[in-house]
Amino acid sequence: MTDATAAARRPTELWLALGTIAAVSAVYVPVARGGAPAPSGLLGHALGVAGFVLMLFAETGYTWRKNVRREGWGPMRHWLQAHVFAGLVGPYLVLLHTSFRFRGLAGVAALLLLVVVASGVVGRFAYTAVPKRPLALGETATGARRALSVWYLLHVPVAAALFVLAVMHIAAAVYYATLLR
Amino acid sequence: MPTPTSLTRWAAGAAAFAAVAALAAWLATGGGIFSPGALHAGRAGGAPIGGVASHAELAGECAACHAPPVGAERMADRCLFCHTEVRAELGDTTALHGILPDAERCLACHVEHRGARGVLTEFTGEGFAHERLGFSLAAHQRTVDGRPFSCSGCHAGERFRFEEARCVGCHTEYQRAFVAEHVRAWGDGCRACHDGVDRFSDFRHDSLVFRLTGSHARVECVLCHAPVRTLAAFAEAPETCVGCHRDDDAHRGRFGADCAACHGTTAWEDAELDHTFPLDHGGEGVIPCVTCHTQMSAAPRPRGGSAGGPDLSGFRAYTCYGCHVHAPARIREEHLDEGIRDFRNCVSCHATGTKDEAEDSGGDRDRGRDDGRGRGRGRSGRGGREA
Repeated sequence: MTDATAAARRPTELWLALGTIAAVSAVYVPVARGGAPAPSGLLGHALGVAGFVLMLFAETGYTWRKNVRREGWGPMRHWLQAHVFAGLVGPYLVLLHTSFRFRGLAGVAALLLLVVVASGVVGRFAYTAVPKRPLALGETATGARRALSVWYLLHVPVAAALFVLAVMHIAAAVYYATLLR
Repeated sequence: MPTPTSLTRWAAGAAAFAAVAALAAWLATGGGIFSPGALHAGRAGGAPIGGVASHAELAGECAACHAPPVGAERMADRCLFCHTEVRAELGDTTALHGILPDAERCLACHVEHRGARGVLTEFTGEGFAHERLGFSLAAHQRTVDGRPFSCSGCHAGERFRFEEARCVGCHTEYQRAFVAEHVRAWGDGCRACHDGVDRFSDFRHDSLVFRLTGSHARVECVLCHAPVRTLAAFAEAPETCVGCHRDDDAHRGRFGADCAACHGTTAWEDAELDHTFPLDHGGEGVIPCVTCHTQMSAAPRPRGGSAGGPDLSGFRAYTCYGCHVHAPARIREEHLDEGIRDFRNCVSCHATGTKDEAEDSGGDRDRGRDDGRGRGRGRSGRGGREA
């Protein structure tokens, strides 16, 4: 493995995400000492909106970049790193937005969120474990690559379902908690 | 590994399935899947309000509270439709909702979907003129240990009811002996006197008309102010000596009500009688008062007699003829011979009763008539025998 390859596979985005999560927690924990801020409050809403924006970027940005096979948009590696960063920090913000109450559609969405994040973390390591060279003629896929194919069927579709439920949740919040007040 | 095309199909299928499932759940639960939390299950007590005993019975009936987005009706209108007791308070400036700023906007303070036992009120108190309810929070910003007050610190139970036992409970924690004595003396109706303005912590009785001097500074308040139970009633405390000491009066009222003529406030025994005419006049030793003050009765005045002002008339009047053998007619003749027409007030010339005193003082031979005024306390009487 060359130094450049090793650097490329160094999980910098993981540490950045964990650092951001720690920073957010440092602000959130003192505020939540008297009780988790309500999702409908100023802080709760801010967490939800910021988390959704990051998750939206995580869901669409990397996929979009993979389909835009042109020069000028930066290396794919950076987009994956941004995808991982946003895919960890965004869900964490959404988790804080829930004030740790899971019920109804929002509860289902939170469950899907957990599945997407967990599968994403696994995929991040499975992805880096798969040889990047193409299979030779007659060569069978390794165990890691077979696992990766299953992961694709879990991570991406569940993320798509999560996106739909998140949009419905937002629409319902606007309808019931804003328009119907 | 699935191809991008198959992956897109999987994702689209999952998204479509999620949408259909969510819509089905929406219809099945009557919108319940969008509920952010269970409705409150607490019962306000008494008869059901709006046909239900608690909000929890409205679960799945979103429209019971959520007004449609079109039209002028708001959610608050639906709150007040059921909560008529709150609606009745809106125009009452002595009631909680009558003085709250923007009280018709229920959601400014009240929340829901916080669970069956969750909070229903998140009231910050900002802009709330608590003093309009008769009790200022000026002296209740922070507890004795520095924590900010919360509404529930004083208002327990439903509808912010206030129980004065809360006053006693908190204040006893750091003023046990004082509060126990205070409640014993004044009762536990704290708000009858206390309105939250911290006017008692630096109270000085000497700032009032009745200054607490001498022994008065050491007596308990209730000795003068009992059985006061309101702030206004404090001003009705007696301000005269006999107001409190009528039963202590060793003179049985015979010396009137002007106790301060002889007594100070330290002790009764320290009385100082400013008797300007020498009591040892004539070398007779201690003689009964009635020897000169013949109008004074030797019998004690009945208790409960008149206390309206000084009653020293009996002592102010005196006569010298109780001892002196001079007949009034002869005295008259002798004084007229000397050109003294005013001779009724003996002490005006015979101030100490000593021999030749009148001549030494020069006498006021030209005085045409008695002006009737004495020269001080104890001299205002007339020397001649009076009827």
